[in-house]
Amino acid sequence: MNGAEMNTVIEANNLGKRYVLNKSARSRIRVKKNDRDSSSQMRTNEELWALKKLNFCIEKGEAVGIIGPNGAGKTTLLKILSNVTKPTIGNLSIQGRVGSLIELGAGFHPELSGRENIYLYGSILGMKRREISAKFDQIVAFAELEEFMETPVKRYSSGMYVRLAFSIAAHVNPDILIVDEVLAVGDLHFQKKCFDWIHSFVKSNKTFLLVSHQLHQVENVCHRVFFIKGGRLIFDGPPDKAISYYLSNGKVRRETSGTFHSRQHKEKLGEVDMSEVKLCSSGGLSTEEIIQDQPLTVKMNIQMKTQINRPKIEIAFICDGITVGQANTISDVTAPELTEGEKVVTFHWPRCFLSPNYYSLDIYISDGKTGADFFVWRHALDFRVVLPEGISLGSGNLGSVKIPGKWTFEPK
Amino acid sequence: MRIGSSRVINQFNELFKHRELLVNMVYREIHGRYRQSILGLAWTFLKPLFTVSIITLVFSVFVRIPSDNIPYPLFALGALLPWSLFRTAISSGVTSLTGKSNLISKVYFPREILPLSAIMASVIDFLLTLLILIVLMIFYRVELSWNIFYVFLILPIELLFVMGLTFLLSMLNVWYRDVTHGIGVLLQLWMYLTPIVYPYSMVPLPYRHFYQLNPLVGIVEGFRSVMIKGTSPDLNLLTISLIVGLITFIVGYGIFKAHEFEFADVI
Repeated sequence: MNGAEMNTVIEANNLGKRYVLNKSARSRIRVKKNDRDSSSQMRTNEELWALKKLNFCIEKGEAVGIIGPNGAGKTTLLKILSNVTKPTIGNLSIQGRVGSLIELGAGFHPELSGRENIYLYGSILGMKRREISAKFDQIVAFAELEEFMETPVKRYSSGMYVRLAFSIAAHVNPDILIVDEVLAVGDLHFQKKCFDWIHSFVKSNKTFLLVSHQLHQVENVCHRVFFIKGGRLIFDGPPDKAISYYLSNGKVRRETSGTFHSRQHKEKLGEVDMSEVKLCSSGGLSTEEIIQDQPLTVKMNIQMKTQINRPKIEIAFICDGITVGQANTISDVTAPELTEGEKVVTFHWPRCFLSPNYYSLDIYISDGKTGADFFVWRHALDFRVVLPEGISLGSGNLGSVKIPGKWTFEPK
Repeated sequence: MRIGSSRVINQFNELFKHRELLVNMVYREIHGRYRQSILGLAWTFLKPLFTVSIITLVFSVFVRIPSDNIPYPLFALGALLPWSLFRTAISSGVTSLTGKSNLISKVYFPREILPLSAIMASVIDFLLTLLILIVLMIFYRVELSWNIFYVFLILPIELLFVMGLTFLLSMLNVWYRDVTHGIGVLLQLWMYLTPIVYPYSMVPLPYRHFYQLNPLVGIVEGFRSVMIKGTSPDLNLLTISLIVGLITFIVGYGIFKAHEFEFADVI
């Protein structure tokens, strides 16, 4: 065995996990009924493979992000890695102590004080009493809860609760730390503290795994990202590539036109079709990267086989599944009627003030009077917004938009 | 066979490694219980006192059941204590896994910690309530005999049976919550099939063959004999308790450990 092999801390071979949806797991069946639109997920048989044929190695000092849509199997993977559940098939070997934070404060007892809960939760996470006593002051200081150690945790605010839980987990000192979506909580100040801590954790040659839907978090912290979908490891590589795979729905992007062609969400409901949609930057060139505060233009080629008298064309800006904003022809202008034939419709935003992130566009064409949908194109294209060169705002939370206000300074 | 025994050793090793977690869970169980109550720990003593008073009123004043020539409150409490240990351990043990489903689906630790901590909390309750019995024994001037040392045989047998049964029921409850609902009825029935409010000597001879199969008969009757009557326990009855207890423990723990990694998927 050479030195490089010795550094492997997690090795998964052909890992698979099957859930059996039988009578005693009614709740799980109910979940499946709820997402009826994704027909691939609807199983009439009683088995569901949450993970299929996963193969990977993770080395010491790696920070790995795991991204993918809901129900992709991310949490199942974390549960297998943290030994909460066993894989149905395949082998997994792990070297070192694993600390997992799948839910912060899962073991807190609300009636017990902060002090008592530090000992309780610490021992749930695998710390010895002696260890906890030695690190007690550090834990309290990190959480900034010095004055509340004798207060029952049920009196804590949710922010205090999370601070205490993360602080305990951070002091368990595992070789491998697994974190699932828990860092979204806490205020800005504490989030920054957590990320600083994670950076130093990784630097000290430990292994870190993060599941998150907040792509900028993943990109910030991780050197390597797994994109998981439908229980399969679709992509394993550098964060920016994995994220664009995710945003393009796992399809290989076509470099030629510079737009993602993921039309599987296109629905022609009436006599309207859209052959192309393009995003253009200030120069009028087709792009997938917009600089903040610069113009943004969306060009749509529409084929009309009928006439709409009062068309409502709507563009929704989506980020992490949330509509950040939308523009439509009814509230902005009184759109002229759309007659039969080929049309080019352009939407121009003189100053795009979206915050740096990954976005996608949904496009709808409907009848402005009746509201009847003629055409829906979800995920018509993807783009990212970046800051102008030379400007850096640090790692803080920038929100969804930069508020386009004006500052004035004058003597009183 | 060798593989089997080394697996068992590994399991006990793993449990030993997590002994502090077990202690903390017991602490959590006991300390969390009476927080924000005025009487606090006093409840531990008040509950059996009430029970004994009611039982004495009904079965000694109204229904006059013979009590082997022992003052009835003493007679009842001597059996009620080992029975309460059984009852609280089972009823809190049954929900020990399902009540902490977020822990089970989120963090790894040997799963038997949860039922064991429920049992240990009940044992501590038992030891505290033993004080009431001692006070009552002094009050009635009970003479002690060397036979009292039999408790160190009787209680381990009871714990063996309690652990085995709790492992089985708490695990079954993960799959079928019916256990949570059914256990109350079962315990009520079980109490009347155990010599608590009446002496074993009242059970008609033809029924005894089946009656004895209840391992609590030997335990409860034995505890009352050695503590209050000062006589040695019925060793035949106790042997049945030991055999049933041992089998229950081995089967219960074995099945529990074989399925513990499925809990997170099902719970």
